Amino acid sequence: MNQIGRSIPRLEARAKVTGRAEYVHNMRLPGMLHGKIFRSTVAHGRILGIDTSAARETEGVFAVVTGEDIRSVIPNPYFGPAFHDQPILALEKVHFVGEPVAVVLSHDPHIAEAAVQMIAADYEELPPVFDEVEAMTSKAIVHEVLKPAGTFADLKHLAGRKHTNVTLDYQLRRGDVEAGFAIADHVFEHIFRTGQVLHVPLESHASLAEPGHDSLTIHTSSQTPSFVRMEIARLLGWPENRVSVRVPFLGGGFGAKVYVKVEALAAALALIARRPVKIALTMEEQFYTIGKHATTFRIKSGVNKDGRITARACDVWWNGGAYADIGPRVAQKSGFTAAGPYDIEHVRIDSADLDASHAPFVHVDQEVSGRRQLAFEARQRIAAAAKAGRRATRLRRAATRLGV
Amino acid sequence: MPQLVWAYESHTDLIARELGIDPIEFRRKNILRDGRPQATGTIMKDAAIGKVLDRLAERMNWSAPFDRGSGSIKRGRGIGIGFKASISPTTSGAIVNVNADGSIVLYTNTIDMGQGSDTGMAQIVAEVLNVAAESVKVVHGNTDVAPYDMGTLGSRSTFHMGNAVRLAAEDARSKLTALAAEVGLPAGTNYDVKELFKKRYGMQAGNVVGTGTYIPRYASPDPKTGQSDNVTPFWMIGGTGVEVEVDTETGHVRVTRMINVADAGRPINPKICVTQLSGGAIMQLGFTLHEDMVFDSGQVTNASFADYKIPGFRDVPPMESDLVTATQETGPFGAKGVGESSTFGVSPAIANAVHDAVGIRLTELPIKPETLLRALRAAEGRPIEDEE
Repeated sequence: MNQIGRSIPRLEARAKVTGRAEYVHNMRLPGMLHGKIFRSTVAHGRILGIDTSAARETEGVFAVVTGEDIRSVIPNPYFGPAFHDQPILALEKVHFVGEPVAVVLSHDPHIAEAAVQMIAADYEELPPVFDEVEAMTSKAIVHEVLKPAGTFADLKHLAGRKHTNVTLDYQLRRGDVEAGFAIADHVFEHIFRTGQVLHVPLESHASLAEPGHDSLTIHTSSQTPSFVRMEIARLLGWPENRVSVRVPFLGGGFGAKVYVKVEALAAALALIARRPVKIALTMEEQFYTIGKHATTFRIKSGVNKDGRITARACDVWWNGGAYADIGPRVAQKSGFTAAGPYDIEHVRIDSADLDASHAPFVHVDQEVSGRRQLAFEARQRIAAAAKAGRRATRLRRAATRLGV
Repeated sequence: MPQLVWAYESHTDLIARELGIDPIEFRRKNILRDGRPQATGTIMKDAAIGKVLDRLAERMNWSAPFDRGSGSIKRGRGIGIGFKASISPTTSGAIVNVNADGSIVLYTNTIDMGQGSDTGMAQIVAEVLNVAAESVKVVHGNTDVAPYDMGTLGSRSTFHMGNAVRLAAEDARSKLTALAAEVGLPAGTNYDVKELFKKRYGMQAGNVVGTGTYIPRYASPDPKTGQSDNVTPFWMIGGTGVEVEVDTETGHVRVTRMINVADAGRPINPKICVTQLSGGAIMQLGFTLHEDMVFDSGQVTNASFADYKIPGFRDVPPMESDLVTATQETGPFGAKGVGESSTFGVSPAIANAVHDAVGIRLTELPIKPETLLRALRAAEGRPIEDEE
C-alpha cells in the first residue's frame, strides 16, 4: 500500500485524548525538589544586594540559590544560541523585569513559592531602552560586550561588538534602488508596526534534571534536545555523553521552546542540591521568558504606469529584548524575503536585530507606546498635530528619527 | 516572519488601491515565478506562489459581485500572500532499526508537539520498507539513542528530518537486501523479513540498523550585498483570503470567512497538513485581532490569560484550508514544510478587508476595536476626545 499521501490519524492521538501521553509537568521522581523563581522588578539595574535570609529560615525550604551560587557548579554560567549573553541567574546586573535572580528549592512547590515572597533585592537603577528604533542610536547600552557563540553554521559571521545594541544587521543590495525609484511613475512609502506578543504554548516550559553518578539526565519540554545537550555539556565542561536529554510530548511549542530556556537552571540546581530538581513555569511566567519580536518596518516602492514594481526599499528593526537568543538569525533570514514574493529588479533591504530592556524578544511600554503611535501616524498627522503642543514636538522627533 | 508579510502585503494592497488596479491583478503582474531571481539572487524553484494566488482568487470567488453590507455593518474582503526561506544549513540524523520479527523502530530527535511529526516520519519509513505506517514505532526526543538534529523549528523537520529518515530507511532496506543475498536468496526474491533473520542467526535474533544524515546545500549571503545563489533548500509559501464585517458603531471586526492556501509540495499526510494550516491561521488571528502584551516601564501588566486573550472556539471563523498541487523535488517524496505557511497572509488580509469595508487603513497590530472606532469617528469628522 502506498503510505505517502495517506491521511491517517495521528499515531499518538488516542494516548492524548485518553490522558495517557507523557508530559514533563506530570513527571515525578523520588526526592524531587521544586524550584520557584524570584524575579527582577526593574528593567535595567545593578544588583546591590539580595537578602535571602528570611526565605532560608522558612520551614520546609531546602535551599535558596543566587547567581553567585551557580558559579560553584558552572563557573561561567552564560548561554545562548547566537551569543553567550544570558546568565542562568542574574549576575551583577539585571536586564529586564522578570529576569530570574534567585531560586527557592523545596519538596513542596507551595512552600517554595511562599518563600520566594520573602526574598528582597536592592538595585541601582540604570537607564533602560525599550523601543527598537531608539535602540539603534540609544546611549543606554544593554550589554557592554557581546560574545558570539559560534555554534551554528549560518551565524559564523557574527562578530563580538561593543558599545552598541545591534546584534546583527543584514543588508541586501540588488540592482540600483535609487535608479529604480527614478524611473517609477509613482512612489509609495509606509510604516507598519507589530507589538509584542507571546507564543503561548498551553504547556508552559518545564525541565526536570536528575543527577546521576558523573552524569545528568534532563527531562524537558524542548523543541531542540540536541542543542540542549550540547549547551549543557559546554556549560559544565563535560563530554556530551554524560548529559542525556529526554523529551516526551510537548503541549505546543511554536518556537518558544527552542535552544536553552529553563534547562540550564534545572541542571545547575540539581548539581548544587544533588537531587532531582524540577522547574515548571506557570502560565504567567511565560510572559517573562520568551516572546515574539516587536517590529518596525518602513517600506517604499516605485511602480510604473503599467503596474509593475520597479524598486523596493525595506528597513526592518527587530526588537530582540535583553538577550539576543536567536534574534540575529531571525533578522538575517527574514531579510532575504522582506521585499515580498514579487519580481523586483532593484531592491535594498536593511534588517537589524537589537537588544532592549525586556525579556528576550520582548518589547513595549506605555511611554514607548506613545512614541510608536507617532512613528505610525507621523506621515499623515504631523500637520494636524502641530497645534497639540508637546505631542507635536514628540511627533516631529519621531519623524526625524525615522526620516519620514 | 508574519511581521514582514503584514507590512509588505498591506503596502501592496495600498498601492493597488491607489492605482485603481484590482489587488489580485496587481499581484499577478508582479508575482515571482520559477526561473526568476529572488531578491537574494537565488533562482526560484519549486515555489508555487502563482498557484497559491490563483487558488485563493478561485476559492474567494473574487470576480463575482460582493455584498458590501448595509446599515452599520459594512463588509469587505482582502488577501495576503507570503513566502519564507527555510533555515539553512542545518543537519538532521535518524536511525531505523528492523527487529528480528520484522517490526520497525524509528529513532529521531524531531519532537512531536502536536504537529504530527511522528505520524509523518512513520509514513516515510513505511513507504520505503513497505509496511503500514501504523505499525512503525517512533522513539523521539532521546539524545542517548537518537542522532543529532538541529531542532524542531522553522518548519524544517518534514524536509530535513524527512530526508534523513528516508535515507535511514533506504539504508536499512539495502542491508536487508544484502542479508537476503548472504543467506542465499536469489536477487529479487520476495522474502519474509522474519525468515531472513532466522536463516542468518538460527533463531529470532539480531537487528538491521539503517542510518541517515541529511544536510542541504547552502551558500552564505555576501556580507555586503546579501546575494547568494542558493539561499534556502526550499521556499514556504502560503496565502490567506478573508471576508469581514465591520460594525461601524463599535469598531468590532468579525471575520465571516477565511481561506488558507499553501504549497506543501507533495504532502506526506494531506489531512495533517490542512489541519496545520487551520491551526497556524488561528494563532495568527489572535496576533491580528486580540493579543498584545502591555508594558509599563518594562513591566508586563497583562501577564495572565484573564487579560491577554488568545482566540477561543467562539473566535474561530468559518475556515477552509487547501493545498495546491506541487512538488518539492529535493524533499522526501516531494514534500516540504508547512508549519508556518498559513500564518503569513492572515494579518494583512484582515487589514486589507477592513480597508475594503470602511476605507480606513490600520498600520499597527493588533487591530483593536478602540483603534478602529477612533479612526472611523475621526474620518466622520467627529473624533472621540480623550479624557484629561
